[in-house]
Amino acid sequence: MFKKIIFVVLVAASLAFVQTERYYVTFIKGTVVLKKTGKPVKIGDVLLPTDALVFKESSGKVSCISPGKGRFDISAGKISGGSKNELLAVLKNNLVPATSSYRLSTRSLMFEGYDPKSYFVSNETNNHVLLIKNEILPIVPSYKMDNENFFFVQYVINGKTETKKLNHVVNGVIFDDEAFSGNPASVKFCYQEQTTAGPRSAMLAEFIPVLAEKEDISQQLKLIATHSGITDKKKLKEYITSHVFDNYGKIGAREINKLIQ
Amino acid sequence: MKTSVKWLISFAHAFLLLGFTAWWMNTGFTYGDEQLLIKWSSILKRVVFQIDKDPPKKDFIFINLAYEKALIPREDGLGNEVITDRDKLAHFFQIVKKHQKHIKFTFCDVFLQGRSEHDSLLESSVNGINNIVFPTHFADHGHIEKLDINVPRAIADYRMASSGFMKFKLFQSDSLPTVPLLLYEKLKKTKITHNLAFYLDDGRPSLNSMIIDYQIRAHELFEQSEYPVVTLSELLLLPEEVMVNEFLKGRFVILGDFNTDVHETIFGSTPGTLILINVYLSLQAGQHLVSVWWMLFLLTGYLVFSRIMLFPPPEDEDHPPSWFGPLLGSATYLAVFSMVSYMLFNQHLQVLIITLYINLLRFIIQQRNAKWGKDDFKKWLLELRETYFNFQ
Repeated sequence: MFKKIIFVVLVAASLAFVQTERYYVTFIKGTVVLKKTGKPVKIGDVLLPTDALVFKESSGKVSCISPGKGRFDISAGKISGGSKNELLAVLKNNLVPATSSYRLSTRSLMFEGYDPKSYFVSNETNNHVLLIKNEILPIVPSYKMDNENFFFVQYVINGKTETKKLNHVVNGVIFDDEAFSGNPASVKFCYQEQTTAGPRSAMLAEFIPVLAEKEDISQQLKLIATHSGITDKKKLKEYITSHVFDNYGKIGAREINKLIQ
Repeated sequence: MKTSVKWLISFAHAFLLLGFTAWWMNTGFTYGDEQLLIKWSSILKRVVFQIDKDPPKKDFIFINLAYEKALIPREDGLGNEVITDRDKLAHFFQIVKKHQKHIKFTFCDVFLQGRSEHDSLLESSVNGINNIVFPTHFADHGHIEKLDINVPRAIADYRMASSGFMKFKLFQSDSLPTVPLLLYEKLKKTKITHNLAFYLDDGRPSLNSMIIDYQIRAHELFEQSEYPVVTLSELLLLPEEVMVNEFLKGRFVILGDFNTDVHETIFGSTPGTLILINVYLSLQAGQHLVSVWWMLFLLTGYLVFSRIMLFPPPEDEDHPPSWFGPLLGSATYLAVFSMVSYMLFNQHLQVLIITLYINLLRFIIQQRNAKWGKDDFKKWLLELRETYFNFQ
């Protein structure tokens, strides 16, 4: 039985904030009513900063664009606080720039894997990349993986060059103990593909690997999360990501999610 | 040697360093620590000193095409490939064409290769728009790629060393300008000419290769919403008069895939479209111009540097010539020199590589009267490599 939840969102309580800005509705999920008219919001409607919206479902969402501020999402699920199933919030807490999620993934609509050329490069961490042992790191499908097409790593240990083929599944590679003997200072991440002219190898990236067990990192991050005192999920994720980047190395946003689940 | 002669030699040497700097900055290469220096100079200026004047927000609209995709059959085999939806682009450009006198310029960062059923519609929509440009690229064999639709085009390529985009060459081909250069010349109604290695912007000396200053950075667009970013589908939902009057009028319209077309820069991952716009903004700010004051600053800096490095005080006989002190000193001097150049003249310098040359020269001078064996030289080179060689 659907339990009706009403969320009221003041599109803006603060008149000082973009008072003249107009927001054109471009997308609606669920039933959303404009409080002043009592009518459902439609695509193309113009919202003013002072308008209040009533979301009938917790999964409700409205997207809108404004000439001065660009694209925004207002999601019922992101509103917190309040009582009696009625929640009030101000514009700057609820108009989330809808483009904020663009940075960490190559295609927000459908994640297909990481591109090794960009994944194993990180100026922020001086090219230290955190690799979780025995976990699948998704790779974009443009890199075919089978017996003849595969990734391998090359590094120098004790003056000797080691070349190790990486284990893989259809959609990703696996870094395990077999891949690394010792603690190489720098690793070349390479791809070998079968072409009509025979096998061809190419170096895609060079980075400093930081290998860790999933359990170890996961426990540590959960401990940090518990004692951080941060309740906002987005801020907590940023905090944890920053900790991992500072202490271990770069890791993908989705891999962070897996670690803190 | 007389002091005046020392100054004269230093003065001549300063010109040599100036020539070397001009050549090095014109190449596509970057010495590893130079990139770090440029990054920190920018952070110092923009974050610490808060010298960060953004271009007017009302002048731009960014239209993200990341979700405007269509499938076309592969030309070289079975299956389909993904392109930007040309039907939607065509509809958008029909509106742009009708109202083009109100729009500053349109840069559509979509590489029009591959054929679709909407090509003729797109071509006719774009045909007649005066201020519009599409990108093209160099092919492997050095020729410029031919687009499948006849539209105004310019080159949007850059050469990267290994650690990300930093420098942009304004002239890359004699037949086509680069996108930022075309935007600059059209909007400023000027012409940059070149003859051999000399470039002139309306008669003023100009650089060909620029280390760009990111006036609009990716996080300002996507996290801070300082500039409007909308999607094309959303824009096309609006009535034409609303779209034109509120979103396009008086603005620079920039279309591109800001999700997948991203490149590493000193400020992190940045959409390629935004890089090109920043090159244009750097041109607009006159960052490519070589001013008399900047030249005097460089000459004075190099003159003092040459005097200190080429004529070191005599070494104490009880102690062997020191290499570490001068190495550190020269690197510090040049780093500060580069930072001051950026603070005062908005021009980054690539000068740290000079440290290697000047220290080798200085060491040779110091060793002129000392015992100089093959082993000494080998030892010195090894020490230098371990401490300072850091090419990327």
